[in-house]
Amino acid sequence: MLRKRALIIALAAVALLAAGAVGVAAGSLPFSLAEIWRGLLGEGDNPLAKQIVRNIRLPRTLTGLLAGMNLAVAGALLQGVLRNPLASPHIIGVNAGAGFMAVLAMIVLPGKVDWVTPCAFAGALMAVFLVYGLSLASRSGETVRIILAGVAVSALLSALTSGLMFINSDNLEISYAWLLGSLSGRGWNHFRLLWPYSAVGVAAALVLAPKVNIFALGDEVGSSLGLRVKAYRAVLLAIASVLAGSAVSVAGTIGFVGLMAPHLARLLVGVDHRYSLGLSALIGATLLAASDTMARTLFHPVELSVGIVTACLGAPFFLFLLFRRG
Amino acid sequence: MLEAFGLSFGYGEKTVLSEVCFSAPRGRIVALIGPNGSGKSTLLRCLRGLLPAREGSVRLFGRPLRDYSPSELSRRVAFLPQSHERVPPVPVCELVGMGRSPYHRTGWVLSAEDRLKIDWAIDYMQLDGLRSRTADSLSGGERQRAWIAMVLAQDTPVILLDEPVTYMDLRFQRELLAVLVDLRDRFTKTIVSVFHDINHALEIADAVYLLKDGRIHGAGESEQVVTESSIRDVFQVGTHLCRFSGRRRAFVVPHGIDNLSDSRAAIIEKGAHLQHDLLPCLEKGR
Repeated sequence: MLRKRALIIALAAVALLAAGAVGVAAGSLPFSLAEIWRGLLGEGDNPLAKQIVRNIRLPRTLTGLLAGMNLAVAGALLQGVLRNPLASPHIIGVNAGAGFMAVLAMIVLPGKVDWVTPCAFAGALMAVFLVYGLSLASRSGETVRIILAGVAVSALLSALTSGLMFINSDNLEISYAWLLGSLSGRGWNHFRLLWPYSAVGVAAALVLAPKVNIFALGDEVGSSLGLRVKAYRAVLLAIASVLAGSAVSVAGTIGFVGLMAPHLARLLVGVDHRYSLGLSALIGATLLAASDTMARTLFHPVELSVGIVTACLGAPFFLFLLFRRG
Repeated sequence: MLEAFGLSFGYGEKTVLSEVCFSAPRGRIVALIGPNGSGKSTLLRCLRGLLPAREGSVRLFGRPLRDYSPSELSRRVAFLPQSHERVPPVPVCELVGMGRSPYHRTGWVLSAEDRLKIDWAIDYMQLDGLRSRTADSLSGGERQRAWIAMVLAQDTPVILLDEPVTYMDLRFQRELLAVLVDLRDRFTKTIVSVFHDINHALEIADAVYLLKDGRIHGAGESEQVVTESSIRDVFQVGTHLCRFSGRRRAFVVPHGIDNLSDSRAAIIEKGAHLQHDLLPCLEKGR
């Protein structure tokens, strides 16, 4: 069992490296592999290859890997803590909050592209804060109340976002592209914003993985096993929202990765979060990086939104796995 | 060992427990019995500190419950709630292993002692063949054994159980009652358990608390508490207390259901026409 798990996790790590390598190698300009490799090392005599590989493809691919990892780990934490297989970052208001603030920033601060990401991050965190506060106000922080509050807050914020886009239809295309999720034009500044949250968030999630397991037994059994259920629920929700919020604010509201990657991980190694959390991270990163490579190469010169690819690629595969296991 | 003084609890306006005094001595099985809604499960949760007492206090080894940290408490008292509608699809050995979590800061790695205790609990509850089966694929009886094994892996001197044998077939009921007796006799565990069936309480409990409307109606040795008149008072049911040769304890056998009360007969009379007899209609249709 342990050996099988180790093998699957190792394979997933190889897949991640492969997805990263293809992401850096593939693109509209056909460089040779040697040129790409030397460009990556900062050597070589092709300045264009060096510039494109190091300053465009590499940061974009790395950002995609981190965003996918964050969304997947956030989804895994939420599914575990809320004991709900349908939970994913959007269910606690992350996407709607980020989307609302991003669109608002695009309207209020036109042309200031740098402001969109921090505003979206703040929006995501505020939405989660609101959802959690509402769930606490209604007697106790039960899991069902968190989900219902999340759905309600998301619906409200999405409606407001649509309203903003309707009123200010000049920016419609940009806002819409952002909401669909895209890694287009993401560079080192986005990577620098994202990686500290990814590193701290994923490390904290992995350390707390055994606690997430106990949540599956219910709040009462959890308490009687000595787990401070409410405190850990708040901490784990906070970790999930920082992970998802940072990913969404950089890459837009990419759906499905946060729902699907944890399910895939559990199908492969079982529900024990000591293994499935790490595997979710690897699967999510691979999935998003591979989807992004396809999004920008499949219909070249038209670039698809990566959110479209993750769903089109992921949903059938996910259903196949689900029904194969009965 | 585990005591409560003047314990009261309620939700908002509603009082669920009032002025309950309770004591479970070391190495004894104490049964909580009473009608549905009499506060048995609530009392059990207050004794574990899962519900906050409105008045009164609970003491464990002479120390108030709130002086213990969550992990200290979970190394002394184990608690198993009644029904587990939602069973996680974890393998039995992992489920039992979670009983060791009070002894760990993170829970990433199990120690040699943990493994010994987990293996012992699995063997003791006769789950060896089911180790790698997931808990949600087990039958009701096997599942309950797995939960009890988790509680045993927790290795606590006090065990609180909420209707541990309800919904189990006769054989599993007998086996589980024997397990509880064995835990008391060989490991001097203190067991406080809610029983749905008065006879289970009579059979294995050293002391019985009979609850009615959130109050203790009677407490003490089982034969003193459970009498024909106290059962009639609390459950509004006529019973015989029977003794069988070869059985140490008495048994409660309810009166038959042949004799309808007048009020019951009136209700049946009033509503008789609302329950159609379908048979004539079906025959006509054919």
